[in-house]
Amino acid sequence: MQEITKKQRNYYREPTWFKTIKYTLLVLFSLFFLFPIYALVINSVMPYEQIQGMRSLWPEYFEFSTYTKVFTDGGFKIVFSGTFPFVKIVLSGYIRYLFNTILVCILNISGVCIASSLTAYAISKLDFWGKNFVFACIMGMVLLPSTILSIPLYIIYSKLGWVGTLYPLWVPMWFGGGTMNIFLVRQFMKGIPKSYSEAASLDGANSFQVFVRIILPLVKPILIYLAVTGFFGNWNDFSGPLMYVRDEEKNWTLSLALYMIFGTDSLGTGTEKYMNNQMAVGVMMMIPCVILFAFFQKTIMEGISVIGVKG
Amino acid sequence: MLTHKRYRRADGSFDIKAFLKKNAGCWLYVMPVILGILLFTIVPMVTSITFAFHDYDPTVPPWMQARGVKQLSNPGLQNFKKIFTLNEDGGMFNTVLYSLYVTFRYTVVSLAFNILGSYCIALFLNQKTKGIQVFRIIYYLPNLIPGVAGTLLWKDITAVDGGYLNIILETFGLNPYPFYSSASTVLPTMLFIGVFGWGGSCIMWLAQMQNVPKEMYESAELDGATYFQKTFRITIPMTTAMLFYVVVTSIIGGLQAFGNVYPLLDVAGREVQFIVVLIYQYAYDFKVDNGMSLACALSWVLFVIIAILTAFIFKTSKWVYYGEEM
Repeated sequence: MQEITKKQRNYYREPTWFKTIKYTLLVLFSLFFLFPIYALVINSVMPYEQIQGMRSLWPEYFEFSTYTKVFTDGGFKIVFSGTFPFVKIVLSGYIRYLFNTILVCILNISGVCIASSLTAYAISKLDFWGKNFVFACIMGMVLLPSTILSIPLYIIYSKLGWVGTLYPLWVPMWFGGGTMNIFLVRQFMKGIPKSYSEAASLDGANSFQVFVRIILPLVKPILIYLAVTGFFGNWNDFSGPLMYVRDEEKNWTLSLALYMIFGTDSLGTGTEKYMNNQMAVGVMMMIPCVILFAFFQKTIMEGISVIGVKG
Repeated sequence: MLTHKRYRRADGSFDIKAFLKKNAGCWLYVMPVILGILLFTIVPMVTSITFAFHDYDPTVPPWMQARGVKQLSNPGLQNFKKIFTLNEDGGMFNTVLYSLYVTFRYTVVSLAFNILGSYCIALFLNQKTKGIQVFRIIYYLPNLIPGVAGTLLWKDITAVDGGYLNIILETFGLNPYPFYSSASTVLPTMLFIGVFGWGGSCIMWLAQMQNVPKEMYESAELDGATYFQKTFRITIPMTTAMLFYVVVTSIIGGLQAFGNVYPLLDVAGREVQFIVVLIYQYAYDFKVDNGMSLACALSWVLFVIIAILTAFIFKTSKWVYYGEEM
């Protein structure tokens, strides 16, 4: 009822000229923000002759082979062998990079969600000896600049034999899931009244059952937020793969491959990079992110608003 | 805590069984994070410190190591000495100082510019109008361009010869802009490109703005407050927590900017040789003797700078308003 009266009041306050100006501004700003998207898409369908010479804001004709190239270069082969598991599917080219990227995303995100919610549960809902120390450690790490760690981490990974594999991109996330993420989940968990878990404990549930049955369903929004932003981060991550897998072609991710060879004329040969091929991959990589963002916009905002609450 | 009577036997001695029974289960939950901090933070930190105070040569082959040649040698302060010695005297202080100057200039200017701009856009988007959700998504779209593709794209758009921006300028009869090719226009170019990231900060401001209780605005309206009064007296003070968060993370992030500037090195040269770029170059380009340990030493210098700055910001954070305790 109140909502309706408020809407009516707003309606009467806004004359037509005001509305016109508002929408004109909104559309003008949109055009501005759409400019890089336009450039991305137009570059992706620019013909090869034009991409190397003078560009124009509109291509002479549309070259869609940049898109189909992604699906025709490489593919999958089924290999039979005498040893277990007898059949092996060998992926190559773009399909392989896509598979690698999805693998990293899934392993990384599930690590973040599971590990950070478990840790946050312990430090926000349980009471044990050493809890404050653990929390202080985690908070101390939040603001630590990552630059310091990058060089020794590279050396540690190379001693473990992980350079050239995908392990450095997801294994660390299973150990705690990132201190900032723990902090966010903890903030969210603090909002859950103690009486919920106490009631379950009285019914004989142990702490893990309380976590799975009561707490986990309630913190779903923040976990979705972590999963979606984690997906954006891993899907587009460039510096991680560049550091660890650049010399191992079979472990490339999409965004590294985009930089390394997606531009080349035919797979792996030649050094000429074609901007239109690279941009075509960029467009295709962007699509799942746009869909996810449009779909989860509300959840993302809800997740972000946790930051502004005092810890 | 250990002396709590819960862990005492009747005679007053420490009951280890009761202690473990109470705590061991909970430790299981935090075990991964403790291991993670130890493995992926503490160990690298100690390694980094060790390198910073030694000469480190990763290229020493195993057969030489077997004969007593160590990868780590010559403990001392030489790396830090080299950082703080002028270039003319065989050090690298001028390079580091210029790099720090470039980094700070970018961090401070872009922080102020981006916060002001994106906050205004967010205020504009913070209204109930038909289709506003769609506009929010459109404004956010440039943030969703994959990082590498974005960098390549912007490099191409800002090309002096035949880049899209210069084509557009030309159609309006204006002179081409030098963008990254001239030292004085590198910063404005970076700021301009940063504008397209405002949608990302907008989402943060909006999330906080929509948490402001509606009753506040309603009672202000009853008192006849104008839009600007409501903005300055209610919206901005109520969103200072997010403001603080963005300031802290932008400073820490800005001083460590790497991914978005590294690919520009070949066009903009030392104007984009940010401090982390410099660290990366020393560590992985193998152009400088003993680069790895120099890079470690340099990263610790950066750490001290960031720590001092962060402490200062937290000390002066009286203006921040946090909502009611959840």
